[in-house]
Amino acid sequence: MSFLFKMAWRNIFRQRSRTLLSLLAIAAGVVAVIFSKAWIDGMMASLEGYTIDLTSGHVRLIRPEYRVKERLLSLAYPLGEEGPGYARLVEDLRHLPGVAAATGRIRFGLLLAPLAGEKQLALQGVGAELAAEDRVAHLGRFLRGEGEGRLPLPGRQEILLGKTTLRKLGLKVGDKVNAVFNTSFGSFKIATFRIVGAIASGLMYLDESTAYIPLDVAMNLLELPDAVTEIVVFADRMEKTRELQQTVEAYLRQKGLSYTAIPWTEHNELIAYMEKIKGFYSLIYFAFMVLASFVVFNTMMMIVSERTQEIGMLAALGFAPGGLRRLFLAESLLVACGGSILGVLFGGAVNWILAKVGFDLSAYMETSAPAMMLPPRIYPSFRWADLFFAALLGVVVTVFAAYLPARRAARLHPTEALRTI
Amino acid sequence: MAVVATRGLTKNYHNGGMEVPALRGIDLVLEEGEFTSLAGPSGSGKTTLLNLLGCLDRACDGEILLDGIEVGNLSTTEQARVRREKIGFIFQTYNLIPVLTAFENVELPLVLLRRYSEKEIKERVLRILAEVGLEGLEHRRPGDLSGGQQQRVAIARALVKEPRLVLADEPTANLDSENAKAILDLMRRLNETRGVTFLFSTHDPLVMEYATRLITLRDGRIVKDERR
Amino acid sequence: MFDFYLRLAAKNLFRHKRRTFLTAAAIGVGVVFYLWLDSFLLGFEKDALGNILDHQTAEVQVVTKATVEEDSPELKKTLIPRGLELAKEIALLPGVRAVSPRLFFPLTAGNGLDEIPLLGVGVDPAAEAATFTNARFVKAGRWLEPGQAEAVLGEKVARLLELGVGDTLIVRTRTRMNTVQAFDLTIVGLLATPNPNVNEGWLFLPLDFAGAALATEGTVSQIEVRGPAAKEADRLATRIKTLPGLPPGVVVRTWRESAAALLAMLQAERQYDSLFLLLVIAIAVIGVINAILLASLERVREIGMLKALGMTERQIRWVFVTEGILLGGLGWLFGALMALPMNYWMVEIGYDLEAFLGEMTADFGYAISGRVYGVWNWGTFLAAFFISLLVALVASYFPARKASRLDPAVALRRL
Repeated sequence: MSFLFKMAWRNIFRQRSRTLLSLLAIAAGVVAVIFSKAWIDGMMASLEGYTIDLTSGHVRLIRPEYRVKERLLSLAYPLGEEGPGYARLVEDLRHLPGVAAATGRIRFGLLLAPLAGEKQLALQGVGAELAAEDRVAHLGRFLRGEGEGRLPLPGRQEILLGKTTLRKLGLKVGDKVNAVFNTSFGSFKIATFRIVGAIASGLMYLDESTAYIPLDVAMNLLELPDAVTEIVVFADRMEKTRELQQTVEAYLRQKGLSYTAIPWTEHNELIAYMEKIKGFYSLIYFAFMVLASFVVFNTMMMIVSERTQEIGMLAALGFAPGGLRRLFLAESLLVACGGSILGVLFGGAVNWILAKVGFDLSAYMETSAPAMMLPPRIYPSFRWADLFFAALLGVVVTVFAAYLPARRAARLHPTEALRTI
Repeated sequence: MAVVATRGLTKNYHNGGMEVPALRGIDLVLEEGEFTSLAGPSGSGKTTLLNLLGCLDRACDGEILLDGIEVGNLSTTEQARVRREKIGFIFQTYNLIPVLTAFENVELPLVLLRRYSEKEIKERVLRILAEVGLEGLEHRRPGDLSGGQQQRVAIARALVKEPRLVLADEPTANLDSENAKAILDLMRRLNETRGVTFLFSTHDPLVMEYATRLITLRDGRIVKDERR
Repeated sequence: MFDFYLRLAAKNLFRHKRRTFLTAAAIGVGVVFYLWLDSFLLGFEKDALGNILDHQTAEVQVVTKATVEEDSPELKKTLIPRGLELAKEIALLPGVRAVSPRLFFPLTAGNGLDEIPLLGVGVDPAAEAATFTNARFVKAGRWLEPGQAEAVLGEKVARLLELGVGDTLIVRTRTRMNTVQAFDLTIVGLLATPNPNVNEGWLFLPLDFAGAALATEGTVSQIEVRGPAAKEADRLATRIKTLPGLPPGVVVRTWRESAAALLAMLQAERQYDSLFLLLVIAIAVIGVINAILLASLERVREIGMLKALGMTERQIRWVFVTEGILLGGLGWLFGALMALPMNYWMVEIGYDLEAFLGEMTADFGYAISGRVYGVWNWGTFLAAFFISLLVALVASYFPARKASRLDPAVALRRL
C-alpha cells in the first residue's frame, strides 16, 4: 500500500503545471462550496433564528381559528379562556419533558401617539413576560449600542419601542406615549405608557413595527384575564422540534384541549419555502464540485493515455487490474486532498473574515416587510463542520471523477499497452 | 519437469473484420535452464508467442502448461498472479517506471509478491544490482541512466524474484554492439549461475550465438528447432 | 490564415471529444446561469415596475416635501395646497394623458369586532380609472361612484374581515385638524390586482367624500400624472415644475425616484447573484486553462514538428489560442442551447411565485404577485457570447504561450 502511494506521490510531480491546475480546480470548487454554503446558511440561520426567537418559538400554541385571523391581531380567540387558565397552562408546559422554555404573548393592534402633536403610528403590540422573552430572544442585547434603556417591568405601565418608531414619533426614552387600542370586548381604550427602552436591532420587525408591554398589564388593559393569544414553546435545540411538537400535542390531548401546536417550519410560507429549497441548495454545492472535477477527469484521462506503456509494464510485473485502478485512484486521492486542503485554507480564511465583517443587505431593507426577518447586515456562517463538509465533498467528488480513467487504466489490455510507443 | 509445454497453440488477430492468423499450432517444450532464442522475420509470431507464454494474452486454441499448471483459461487477476510469481519480462525499450529509482524498480516485483520482509527485500535487491554491475547507481532514476544501464536494471528487475521463466523481447535491439554483448554476457551468466530459463526473441545474429537452443518461426509455425 | 487555425483547432478539439465536451460544459453552465438570471431579473423588474406604474404611481408624481423627507409625517403636512386646482392645471399641459389626484390617509377598518390598519386612498373615480388600471381589477361588485360613502378594497382583506359586497365597513381615522373621525362605508367592489401592495394595504373611497370627512378643503396628498411614455417622464416633470401656479413646498418626481427603493433592491440582487456567477466563471477558466495545457503537453512532438516546418512562436500560440476561443464558442453554444428551452418555459409558463410563497408575496416587499415571467433578451445572448470568447481567450493565452516557447529540439526528443 505504501509503495502504491509512493508511486502515486511521485507521479503527481511529473507534470507540475498540470497537477497545479488540478489542485486549483479542486480548491476553486471547495471555495465555491464554502462560500455559497456559508452565505446561504448565514442567511437562513438569521431568518430562522429571528423567526423562532421573536415569533414562532419552536412550537407555537394557538386556537385553530386564530390562524386565519392572525393578520387582524384578533383578540377573539385567546388561550386560557376555557379549561386551564394561562398561568396553569404555561406552568404545565414548562414542566413537560424536553421543554426548555414556554411563554405566552398577547398580540394586539395598537395606535401610538405622542401626548402632544398629531403624529400617530399603527403597530403590533405584544404583551409579554419580558424576563422570559429576554431568556429566549435575548432582547437585552438590542438595548446596548445604538439601543438604550431597559425592559418594561411587570405590573408597570411601561413600553419598549423600536428606535425607528421613536424617531417617527419624535420621542425618546423616558417620554410618555398614548396607546389607543380595542379591548377584547371591542371597546375603545386609551392608556398612557412610559417609554423605558429603545430597541436597535436592524430588524424592521423590532425597530419599527412592534411595541412590547408587560403581559399582566396587557391582560388587564385588554380585558383578557389569565388568557393570551398564543404560547411559544422552546426545546433546547431547534432540531428537536418534532419531538417537542409530539410532547405538546400529547399534553393537549390528555387535557382535552383543542389548541393547535404549529412547528416553526410551518410558521409562514417564507419559512416553509426556505425549508423546501434547502435540498435544492445542496444540489448547487454538488454541481460546483462536479464542474471543478471535470478538470481532474480530463487530466486523469490524459495521464492514463500518456502512461499506457507504463501501465502495460506494471501489468507484466504482475499488477492485477485492481492494483492498477488503486494506483490511479491513489494519485487522484492525493491531488484531491491537496486541492481540498488548499481550498479549505483559502476559503476558510476568507469565510472567517466575511463572517466577521458581514454583507450589507440594507438595499433590501427599504422594500422589505417586517415578516422578512432579515437584519441589514448578514453574517455568513463560519463552522468548522462546514469546512470539513466542503473538503470531504471535494475529495469524494474528485476521486469519483477519477474512477472512470482509473478503470480505463485497469482495463487496458497488457499486450496493447506494451505495443504503444 | 518442463518449465513450459504448449500444445497446438493457436492465435488469430482480428483486423478490420479479417481473421489474421498469428500462430498456427505451436508445440513447444522448454526445459529448465534452457537459454533459447526465438528468431524469425517480422510478423512471424515471435512477440505473440512471448505474450501468450507470459500470460499477457489469451490463446484462441491449444494449451499452455507453465510449471505443469494449465494457465490458458485463467482470469485476468489470476493471470496477473502468475506473472507476478513465475515470469520475468525484459523489453527492447526497457520499460522502467520513470518515477522510481533503480533500486525501487527492482524492488517492485518483490513488494508485489508480499512474501519477503523489508530487510530481505533490501538484501536481495542490492545483491542482484551488484550482480548486474550497478553498484552505486541504486538511487538514480531511469532518466539518469544510459541505455545499457537501464537494461541492466530491467534484467535485475526480471530476475530478482527468481522467476521460473524470463521472457525477453528483443532485449538488445536498442543497444550498440558493445553494450549488447555485455548484456548478453550478463544474461548468459545469470542463466548459468541461477539456472533460470530464458526465452528471447531476436533478429540479432549475435544473440543467436549465445543461445543454447535456436527456434525459428515463420508464418506462425516452428520451422526449425536446433539445440547446440 | 485564421481560417487554417480554425480548421486545425476544430480538428484538434474533435480528437478529444469528451474533454472538449466537459470543458465546454463548464463554460455552458456559466452561460446558462447568466442567461437565466438575466431573464428572471429583467422579467421581475419589468413586472414589478409595470405593477407599480399601472397600479401605484404614475410616470410623474407631485407630493409635498414632508412626504418625501419625513418618515411618517402628520396628515396636514402631506397635503398639497390647492391640490385639486393644480391637478386641473396639470391636465391641460401638453403630453399629459391623465391626472389622478389622490388623498392618502391612515385608517383602521373594522367589522365591529376585528379591525385592520389600512391606507385610505381618496380618488376621483373617473380620473383614477383613466390614470391607473385598478378599476379594471374589480372582481366582484363595481368601481366607485363619486359622492357616495362607499369603498373598494382587496378581496383578501375583505375575506379576512368576513365582509363582502354590500356589507358595512366601520372606519376610524383622524381629520386634518387631528380630531378623531369615524364613519361607515358600504363595500361596493372587491379588488384583485396583480399588485399585492394595493390588494392588501389600500382602501379606495371617493375623494369628495373623503375630503369632506377629513376636512381637507381642496387639498390632496398626491397628484399622479400619466404621461405619453415612461421615457419622457423627465420632460413632463420639468414642464410641471415650471407651472406658475405650483405651490411652494411641493416636489415633482418621476417614477424612477418614487420606485428608487425597488430599483436599488434589484441592483443589489444582481450583485449578490453575480458572486455566484463569478465562482462558476472561475471554475470554467481553470477548465479552459487545463484543456489547453493538456493539449499542448500531449502535442509536444507536434509542436516540435510545426516549429521544424518553420512556424513562428506567435503562430503556434495562435494555434492554441484559437482552440481556446473555439472552446469558448462551443461552451456558449451549449449554454445557449440549454437556455433556450429554459427561457421559453420562463417566458411562456412563468415562475409561480405564489405557489412557492403562498399569500406572503406582499411581505417580500415586491410589488408582484402570482406569476413572474422571463423575457427574451437577445442582447444578453450576444453579450454572453462575447464574454465566453473573451474568458476563453484570456484563459488559453498563458498555456498557449507556454506551449509556443518549447524548444523544438527538446520538443521532438521528449517522450
